[in-house]
Amino acid sequence: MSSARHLKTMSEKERDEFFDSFDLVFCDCDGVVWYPLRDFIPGSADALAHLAHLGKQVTFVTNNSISSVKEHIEKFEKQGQLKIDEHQIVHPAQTICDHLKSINFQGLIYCLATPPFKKVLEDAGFRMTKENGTGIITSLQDLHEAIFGGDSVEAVIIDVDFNLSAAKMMRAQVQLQNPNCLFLAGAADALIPFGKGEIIGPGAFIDVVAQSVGRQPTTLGKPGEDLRRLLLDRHPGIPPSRVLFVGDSLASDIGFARTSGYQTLLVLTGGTKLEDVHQLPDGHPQMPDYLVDCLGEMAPDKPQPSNSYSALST
Amino acid sequence: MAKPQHILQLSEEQRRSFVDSFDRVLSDIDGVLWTMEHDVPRVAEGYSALERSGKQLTFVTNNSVRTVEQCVRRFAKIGMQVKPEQIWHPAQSIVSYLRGINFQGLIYIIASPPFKAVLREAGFQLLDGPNEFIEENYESLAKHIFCKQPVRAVVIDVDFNLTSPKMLRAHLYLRNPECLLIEGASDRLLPVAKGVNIIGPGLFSSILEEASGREPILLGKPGRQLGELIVGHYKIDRPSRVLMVGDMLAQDVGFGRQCGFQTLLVLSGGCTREQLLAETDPRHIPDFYADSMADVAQILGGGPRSHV
Repeated sequence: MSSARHLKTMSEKERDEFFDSFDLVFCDCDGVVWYPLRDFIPGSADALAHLAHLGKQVTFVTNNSISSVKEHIEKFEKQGQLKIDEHQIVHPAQTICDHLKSINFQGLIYCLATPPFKKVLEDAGFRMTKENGTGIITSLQDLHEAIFGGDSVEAVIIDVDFNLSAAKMMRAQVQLQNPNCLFLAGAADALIPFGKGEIIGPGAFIDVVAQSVGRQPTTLGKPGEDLRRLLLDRHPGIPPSRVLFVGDSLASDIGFARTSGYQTLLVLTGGTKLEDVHQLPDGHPQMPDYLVDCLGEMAPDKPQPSNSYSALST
Repeated sequence: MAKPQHILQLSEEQRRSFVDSFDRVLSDIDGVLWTMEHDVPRVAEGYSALERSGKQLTFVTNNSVRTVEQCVRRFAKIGMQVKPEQIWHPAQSIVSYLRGINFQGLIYIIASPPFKAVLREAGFQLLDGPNEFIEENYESLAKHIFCKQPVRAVVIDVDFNLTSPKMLRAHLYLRNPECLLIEGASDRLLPVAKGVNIIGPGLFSSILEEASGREPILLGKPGRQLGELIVGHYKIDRPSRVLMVGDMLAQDVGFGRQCGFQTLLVLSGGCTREQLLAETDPRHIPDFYADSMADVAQILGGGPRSHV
């Protein structure tokens, strides 16, 4: 497949063949199931119900650790009347937590992430060091204290941190000079859709720390290599060609999924516009196999997407 | 590419032709005159020998975190009389550049307080911030990064209080194709002590470059626009008669070579002899090197000779 096929242009027979071609769906949430951090996109609940009706397994793969797994489940139930199990939700706080458990990690963690992300680790019994330099830095001594003061740690974790600062990144860099200190990253998008466009994502800041210490993190959020392998290992019985990955980002979803050999479906309710797809040359590694205007097009009757996405911009 | 020569290993004739080959010296400051730990011994003798030989001295630093006045006082402490106008630093270079293009409009700035003061005193209108930590949610983020003010330039240099909301806000201004991206110091790592480097402004500005797809206007070393500014200011018509002196391969030698200047690396700062000899990028290999500027005093005959 060299260019994307729009689902609505396919015949009934082609649609049936498409639905027969996968057993498992990995589905992004923000910009796909619901508008980022807000309400369900009309039709997406019907589409997910339809997939369940067809007997497809669905796992939600999100980079958003702002909402806990429990909050995700409640949202699916309340807004979509959908019953989703805990194990159907994969997000960075959880994958990192699982990873630390799997290696029986006991040490102190320096965690650059949101409070809900840290809570997942805390609830699992992991210990995190207090922030050292939260004040404004007015002198080289302040800077020195912020970077070199505080506990030494055995793991540095970076995900979305609304108050990520140069000093925090430098403290992380200093800790990571110790080759035994783990370097873990969650959401690693270079850009994330926000408001009417895109804003710089956590991936850009993770890269800076990685470049400054000369080592790469274990990345357990999209589009991380380690998350990619983790997803492949989750369903050893299902060949990648029978997996459909659904997302709204060319880099974090489609490119990520194509590397694994999954089929890919791009929805246009999030960060990617149709013209972005048209600008890709045929055969580009981020070219999706299939396209829909909204997830609802996967349901038997196809509602139109509303245009209310963008409420966060001013 | 010829290997760089140590100036004390030049023959008598080579020394003479080297000394006669330049009229103006552009010199870095940190790592050349002093380091984080100490003053480099006897460098003042090197500079006074250059002045006695009629060379024009200009200092070009990437450090705008200290003021020019502080810098002049520091020179005085090691016995050198340097005038403020002899010192070029990114904040001042950005002022000159902006005046040169008759820039009008708002500037969003990520930099240190002394850097901002230079631009404000020059009459430019600055926006900055958020200068406090924000509430940790997307609504609060939106409030702090979306701004409708007509910002026409984003300026970034060293900011010890740089935060992600500042970076996100800067990137949003750069969506306007008419908004300039102007960078001062672009060092990717900054030495703060022996063997200790912290993340420098260059790694942060590269986030803005990549996210916005912009080519920056670079007014710290090794910026092309800084070179043009200096060449224009001193009406340098024969760049080969300028000697650039510094302690860093990329910033100083790279800057000098790009401008067509001769280059002299001193080993008194951020580059060791091993690093110099291991350098393979021809753009960063100097014409000459020396242990420090004290060696220059020796070849000019003005400084203390070795004991007889």
